Amino acid sequence: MISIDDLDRVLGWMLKDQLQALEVSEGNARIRLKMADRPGMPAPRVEAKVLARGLGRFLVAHPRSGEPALKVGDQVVAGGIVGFIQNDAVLLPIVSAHAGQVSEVHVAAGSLLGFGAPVLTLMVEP
Amino acid sequence: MIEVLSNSALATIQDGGRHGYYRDGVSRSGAMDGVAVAVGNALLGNDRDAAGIEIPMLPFSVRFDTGLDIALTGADCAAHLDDVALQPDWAIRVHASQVLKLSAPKSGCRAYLCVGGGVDVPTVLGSRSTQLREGFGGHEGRMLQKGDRLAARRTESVLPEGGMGAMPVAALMPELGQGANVTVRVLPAAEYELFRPEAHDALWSGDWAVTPQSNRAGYRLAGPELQLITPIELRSHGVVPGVIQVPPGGQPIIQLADAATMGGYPKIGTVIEADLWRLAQARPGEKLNFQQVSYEDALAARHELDRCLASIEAMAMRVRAAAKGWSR
Repeated sequence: MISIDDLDRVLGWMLKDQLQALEVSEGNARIRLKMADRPGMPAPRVEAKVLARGLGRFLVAHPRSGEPALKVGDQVVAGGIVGFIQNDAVLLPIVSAHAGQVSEVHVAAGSLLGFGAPVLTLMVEP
Repeated sequence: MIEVLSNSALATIQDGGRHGYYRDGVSRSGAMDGVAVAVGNALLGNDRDAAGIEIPMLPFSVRFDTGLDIALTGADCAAHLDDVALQPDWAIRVHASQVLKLSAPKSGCRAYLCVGGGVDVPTVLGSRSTQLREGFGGHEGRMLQKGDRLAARRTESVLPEGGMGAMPVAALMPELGQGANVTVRVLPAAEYELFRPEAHDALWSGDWAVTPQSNRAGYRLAGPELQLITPIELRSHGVVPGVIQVPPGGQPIIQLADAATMGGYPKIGTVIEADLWRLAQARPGEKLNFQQVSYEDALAARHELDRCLASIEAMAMRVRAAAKGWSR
């Protein structure tokens, strides 16, 4: 038998894992839970900003690589280099702490970055 | 410690070279691309001439069994630290059990692995470079082999989180020549006037292919035949890295880091010291062009290169110090 406590627990899992519907079958019994429709609500996602950890000129790619600049919609991996800060002859990496999809690029190639300046906004999958 | 995992031949420990023993017949040895080693050392806060590993044959891989600051410079060889791509001319902290893999180079032909404080091998005649022909210096006086274990002279980290890199030196210096060929600057040498005028024209305007018979001792070139006005016999005399000798047959040889200290072939020119690193990254099949310069130009070029390296060293030091401040 499925108790009210069981339903409560299952609902907790659904909320935690963002499930919209869950169906459980056992013998002839079947129970189906479905979240109330909330039309027009976007999928729940979280924004994260990638910040410059140094001062200098923004390079979209390593000068020896010739890779194209990141643009809105591109995927980045956690710990991945998303650009460089050029300080005279020295380069510092701009590293994304999260995996996600680029939703905004805040700085143009070659522009000057201050410490803590936002470089990208990512939509991070929760 | 660093353990060599690959059986790749020809990798050797090299520093800024063994200077001052020519009179004893000891050639200079040292890194072929001294600029790449200097850049790696600048990023790591090492002395400019600290010893690194010169890697001319790829693939090559090593495993670290302690945390260590490393820098990889020179040829861009799609290096990976475990599964993560490492940027060219880059210094980073590695952790115990990580594996560094270098693949076939996209450009250049010699990579340099520098470590915190430099590679810890004994100093012999003022240098840690491997003296291959004589079998001393470096690691047991020989090329590295699979299973060799090397220590760094410093294990604590000075690098910012995520590491730091250097701009390509070629991008910081005035451009030399045009097109795909490698241009180096050359001084006319002692026997220059004994060559025919056509040989002079060919030297300055010809394309000189680096042949596969090219190594740390010297590069044999293929191009127009350089002929003397009349054949001459010379007594053996001192020869330094950069000297362009012309043996009978007229195809020149550029003597390099491991060249014999003496030779008897006539010398038509000398590649200036400030451009020897450019030769080090020219692959067999690539073509060289020689640009004539004066002694004063050669000295100015050397000072310019020194200033460039000094500015990388100074900026790297400032960036390391600033990063240290921000991380507190």
